[in-house]
Amino acid sequence: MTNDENDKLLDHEYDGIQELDNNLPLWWLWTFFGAIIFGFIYWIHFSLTGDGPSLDEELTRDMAKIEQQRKQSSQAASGGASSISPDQLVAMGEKIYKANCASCHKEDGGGSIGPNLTDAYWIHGADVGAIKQVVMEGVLDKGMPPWKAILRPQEVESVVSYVISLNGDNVKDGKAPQGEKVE
Amino acid sequence: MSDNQTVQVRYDNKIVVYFMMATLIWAGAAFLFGLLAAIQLAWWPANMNLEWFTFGRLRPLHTNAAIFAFAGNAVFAGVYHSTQRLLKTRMLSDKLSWIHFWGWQSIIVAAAVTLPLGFSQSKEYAELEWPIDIAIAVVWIIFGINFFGALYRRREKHIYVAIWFYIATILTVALLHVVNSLEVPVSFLQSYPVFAGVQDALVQWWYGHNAVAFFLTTPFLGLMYYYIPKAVNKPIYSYRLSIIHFWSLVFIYIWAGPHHLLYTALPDWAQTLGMVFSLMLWAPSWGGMINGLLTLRGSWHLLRTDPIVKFLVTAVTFYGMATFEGPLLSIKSVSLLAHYSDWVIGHVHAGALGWNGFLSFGMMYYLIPKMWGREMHSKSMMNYHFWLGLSGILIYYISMLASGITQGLMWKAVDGTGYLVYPDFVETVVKVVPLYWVRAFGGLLYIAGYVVAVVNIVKTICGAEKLVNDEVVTVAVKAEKPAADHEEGAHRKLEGMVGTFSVLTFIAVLIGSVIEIWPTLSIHKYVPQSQAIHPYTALEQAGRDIYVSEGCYTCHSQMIRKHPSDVLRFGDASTISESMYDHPFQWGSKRTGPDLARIGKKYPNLWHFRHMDDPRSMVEKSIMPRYSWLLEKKVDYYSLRKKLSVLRMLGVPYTDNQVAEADRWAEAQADQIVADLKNEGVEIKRDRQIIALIAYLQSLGQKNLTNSEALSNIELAPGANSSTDKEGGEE
Repeated sequence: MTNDENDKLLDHEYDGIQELDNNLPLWWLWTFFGAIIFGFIYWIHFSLTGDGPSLDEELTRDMAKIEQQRKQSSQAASGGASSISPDQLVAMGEKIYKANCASCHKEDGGGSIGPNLTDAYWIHGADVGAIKQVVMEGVLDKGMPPWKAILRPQEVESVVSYVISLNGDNVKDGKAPQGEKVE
Repeated sequence: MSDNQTVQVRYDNKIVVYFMMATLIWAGAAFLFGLLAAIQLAWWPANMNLEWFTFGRLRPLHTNAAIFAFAGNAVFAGVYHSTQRLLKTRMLSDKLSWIHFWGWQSIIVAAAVTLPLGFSQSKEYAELEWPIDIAIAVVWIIFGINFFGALYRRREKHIYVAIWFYIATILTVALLHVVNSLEVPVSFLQSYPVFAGVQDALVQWWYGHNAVAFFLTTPFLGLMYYYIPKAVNKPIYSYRLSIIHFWSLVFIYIWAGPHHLLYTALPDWAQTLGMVFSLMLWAPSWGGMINGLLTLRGSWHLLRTDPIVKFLVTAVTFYGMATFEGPLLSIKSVSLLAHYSDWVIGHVHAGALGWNGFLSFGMMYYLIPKMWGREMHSKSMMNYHFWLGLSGILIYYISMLASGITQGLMWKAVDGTGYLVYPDFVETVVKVVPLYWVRAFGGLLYIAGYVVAVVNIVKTICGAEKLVNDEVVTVAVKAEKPAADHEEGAHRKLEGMVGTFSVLTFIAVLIGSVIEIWPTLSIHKYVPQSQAIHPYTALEQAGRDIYVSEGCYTCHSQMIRKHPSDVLRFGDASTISESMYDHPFQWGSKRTGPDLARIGKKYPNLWHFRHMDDPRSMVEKSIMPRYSWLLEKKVDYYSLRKKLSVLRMLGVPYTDNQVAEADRWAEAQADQIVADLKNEGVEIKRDRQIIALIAYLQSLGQKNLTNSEALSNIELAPGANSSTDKEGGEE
């Protein structure tokens, strides 16, 4: 910056403020032009020609990939399912239950917002398949959320196992029976 | 006519001083509200179980106080001071100046009363209700008349760059405020915006982003162009840079609003425009920074010795930092990580505390000695203020950057098996709570600096011999023809034609506005019938009004973005049609808590009942405030007739019967919820706010035509074709 400032000092003056008339810094100009050129190309690619994927297309593609990953991992898991013992499964289920289910079904399974899981009465069926269905898909009308997007298949298995292990506890101060009695 | 005449001008200093004092007072309020809000996020009991001071009501109070009370009054002080001198004239009318001053302060007081009481439109930085909106428009126009009147009577043919920025500010803020505040009143302190859903989202963020642009950027650039050369006594670095960056800034800025809505249901083309114009904005913004900083060439030593220069230069540096970060955050993939997170909070505070705050304090330290004819009481206190403030900003910014990136990464984390790594939202909240403490500490330091400033300023004023008097100066008035015998450049000519200049500026901001907003205004016409949705029932709408009034949007979004991590966590991506009857839209901009777009039917009524009464009874580690008063306060069902009729006028397809008997419709649905709760052992009367809010929350994401539950609630409406008695089929 060896330019002689006085040469460029404009003759105007506002309340004592004067202005130089230096050239625009080159790097600044290139930043500006670069952003405009990039913006234009980006716009052509995504908006004008439609070559770039739309957000919906991107989402569909990514969700398909996730679906694929889930399938693969569940296949892999079912291949090596023997590696985990039933006891371990129940222990794993207990952890998941305490983290996700206890706020409505109580720590001991006695029920509060959700039904009592320790008595002999079942609203949507007592067999493993029925319980798993409820955990996976939820019961929207009653406010039971679906867990299939959140919990992995093995985690669902484990929490079902834990729920079955709770059954028959008939805890004190449990919620009044709901549904049908299953012997 | 001789070449030069001299005229005596009396500059109005008193108005400048009043605006400065208002700045100082409201700054304290804005900072304290901010500190309290920061502590509330770190430690929920700081919500004090008082409805007036929950985070949802306090946060709008904080932002409004910071933007319109603190920064606004600082701008007015600087504009009234510099404009008179740059135009060599007093303002048009003292009366208008004082109406402006007292009008603006009354608006602030009205905001400070109504926001804690829950009168809010829940549109960011435009929360104030319609009577106050009208007052803002009137006072702003008075300011405009006063300013343009002064321009008309100016004794300086050409207008200086600071004035260009003031012109852009006054015209554009008027446009933004009027369009974004188009609303239909339903009562003295409640209204519904005319826009709904995606339209409202686009208009709101066109406003919201450009409130930052034309309330917190262009006027402050104008102040910078006056006070930096004054403080360092050097010429502005480059006149041609001023021209280029002014026009590119005002033209490009207005387009950038949609970068607040990336990956949402907003059509892709608008998102793309929002992103690319934000990137193009980088250089024009930095043009201002360069002109500010390079004006100091040869005077850098002042940075060591002169506290005023420290404040001004640091402000411009923060401006440069924030305007680099802004375009960065507007890149779609970066936004995916940063949006809804604390990073954005850090970003705006670097701007607000660094750029706006420090420039305002620097300007006041320059002005106060001039106004009272006395040096500042203590230079070292100015330095203490500077270092406390600077450390505060840095601690604030870094903690929020760390928190935001942590949140973004945790929310987005999907492992190789296709599942969320942190499915439990509250995990991601607990993780950043320690950083909320750090942020509060940063804020505390900034406030400590402010306290030092107040003491220093009060001591300066008390030690002054005289009160502020008008300043009488003799100014030279140049003859029409420039003394030198050279051709004027085209832009120089334009600087002499204020009317043309203003019109061109207005056109520059109008182009982007029209191109982006116009197509969206009719967008709901193109929602396919098969995707249409049911409007809210009367009770749900009553609940929605409570949601809006409590400011739930300050922590909860209602917009599931088009990205797997959002879809896995919250459900299918939100669509345009789902919010098409939302006056106002509630897509939100922050996720301190989880998204609520599909919360409906996820939990039973009892869950919501207990959760609103005491969130920790349902989610142990929740930091949400308690809303126990919802169990006590009543809903005015009768007013629903008026509300629904206004909504119908705005295009929500209610039938005559639904409007005429809205109250009975609401009560019928409330009875169902009451009965359900009673079944679960909770006794509550049907006219309580909690019932309406539960109805609204349960309806979120449940309004598709195919949804039978939504249909059954519609059928509850008196006069509907099918039987209103559906009790038999329930349970």
